[in-house]
Amino acid sequence: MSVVATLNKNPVRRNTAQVGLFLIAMLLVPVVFGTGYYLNMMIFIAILALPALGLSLLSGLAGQLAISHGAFFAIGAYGSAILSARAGLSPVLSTLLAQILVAVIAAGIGAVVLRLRSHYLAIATLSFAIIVELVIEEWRGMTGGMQGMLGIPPMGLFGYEASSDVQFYYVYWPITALMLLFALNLASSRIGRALRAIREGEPIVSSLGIHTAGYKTGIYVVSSVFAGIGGALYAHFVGFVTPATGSIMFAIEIIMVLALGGFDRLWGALIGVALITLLNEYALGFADYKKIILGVTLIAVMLVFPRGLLPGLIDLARHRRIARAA
Amino acid sequence: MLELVNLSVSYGNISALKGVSLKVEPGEIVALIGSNGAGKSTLIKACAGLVRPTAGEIHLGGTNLLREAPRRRAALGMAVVPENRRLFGEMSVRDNLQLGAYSQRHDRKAIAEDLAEVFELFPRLEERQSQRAMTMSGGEQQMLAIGRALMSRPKLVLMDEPSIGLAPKIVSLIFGAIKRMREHGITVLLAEQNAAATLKIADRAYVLELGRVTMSGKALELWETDKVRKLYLGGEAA
Repeated sequence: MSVVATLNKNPVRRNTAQVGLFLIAMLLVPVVFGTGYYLNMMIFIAILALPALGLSLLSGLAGQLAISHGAFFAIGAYGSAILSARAGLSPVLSTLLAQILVAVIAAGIGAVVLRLRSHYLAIATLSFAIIVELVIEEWRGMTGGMQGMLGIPPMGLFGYEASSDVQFYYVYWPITALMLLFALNLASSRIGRALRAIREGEPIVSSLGIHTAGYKTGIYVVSSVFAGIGGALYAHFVGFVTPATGSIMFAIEIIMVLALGGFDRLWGALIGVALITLLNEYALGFADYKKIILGVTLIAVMLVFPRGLLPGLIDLARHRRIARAA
Repeated sequence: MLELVNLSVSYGNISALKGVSLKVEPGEIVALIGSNGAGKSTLIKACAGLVRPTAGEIHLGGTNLLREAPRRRAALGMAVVPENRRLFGEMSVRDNLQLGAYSQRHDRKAIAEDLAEVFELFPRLEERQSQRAMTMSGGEQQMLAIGRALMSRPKLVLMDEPSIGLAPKIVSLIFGAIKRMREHGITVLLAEQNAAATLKIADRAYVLELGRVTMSGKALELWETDKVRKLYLGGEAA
């Protein structure tokens, strides 16, 4: 049996090989292309990939849509910022502790809302996102209000602090790769199979002994923690946070990422993030129209390619080839 | 094994089951025959926990099922082959079968054994194991629905019209599989419109009309009665 066939049989090994190769390639990028401003953008891609991967797990695997990934990104960012800048904890510890807060809140929302049908999650999480934005703006003593928070210590451990883009790059990309590997393995596990069955919406799922509400809540928590970790990494890279950090607009941009990269493809989330980041960077001239451009693009993609732009284009190309062959 | 006492189910003002009592003993195939709208599907769904009865009791073994969620009923040894099969169409045949084994959780060896048994019962499923369920023919899908139910090593299987829309050859294949389930000690409650085929393999039967049991008894004896023949033989007898 060929190596490829063996790898295909064991999804964990296959995922590890793919992510491993990907990480090696990513780690070689600064070696080959040197340092420069582009690294800054690459670090943002690593950070923003996390909420996108989280949302992809929730919507792609389990078929649920949440608009709270911006809010949990903000809770991760502010939580870790407050714990490190105000309480003096090390950034690694504050990053992890902030996730407990994220997980508890997500579990609370999930336990209440996910017993209901799927669109209630979108509505409930939208309300939650509005509340989080208000709390961040109004709780000035803790969050700095509209001015935001400055002086957040950079990511580091045992006195070593990342200080240059290259260092951040070499700290953040391995984290993102690990999270990607975790997400891929989760998707191809028994749990992933149960979640895909839940996505198909058949009431029979529960007759197979699957605790539907429990699984949905579980994946919502995991998905939110992805966003929360992304937020903390963001705070410790940029060094300041403002209410714009996890706004509803941000949450919609994350949905946009999946609309580009594909709703049910974890790798697609990564590609979508890269596309959006490049767009944001090089379409600055259109900044005034950004929201309109994003909105119209989102609607167009959803109408033409409901599974997402990238999978839609791949299907289109495949059909063309089949049609030509016929 | 399974006992219903005065079971009633209503959808809004429409009552679908009106005080049905029946018993299924271990190792039996019990048929539930009746025409469209007689309440067969409602009865199966009530047993599976997918609709809530308005009155009456359902017992499985010694357990009162009324307060048990569907997933608890699965843990008690009940499996369902639902109306219209309800497969996970986007997922592979193998995935569908493994989902059926969900209640066995981590026992990989047992799952592999059961998978081999299902493939032996329906070799067609082995050939198609990596195909998406929705791309298969109706008969293959029905085999998969039965296979999925068997993967949980059930004590009792509830089947809702497994023969519907299938060619006679496939129907006899499916009914042959149901007989083999009985040989393996699995109890079956089989709701069917196809009285002729069903009464041939069942031990006992209940005739359901407009939500009530109107006749019951040994399957072959029921088949001998004029009323059942007239009701279900079709055009020329009616």
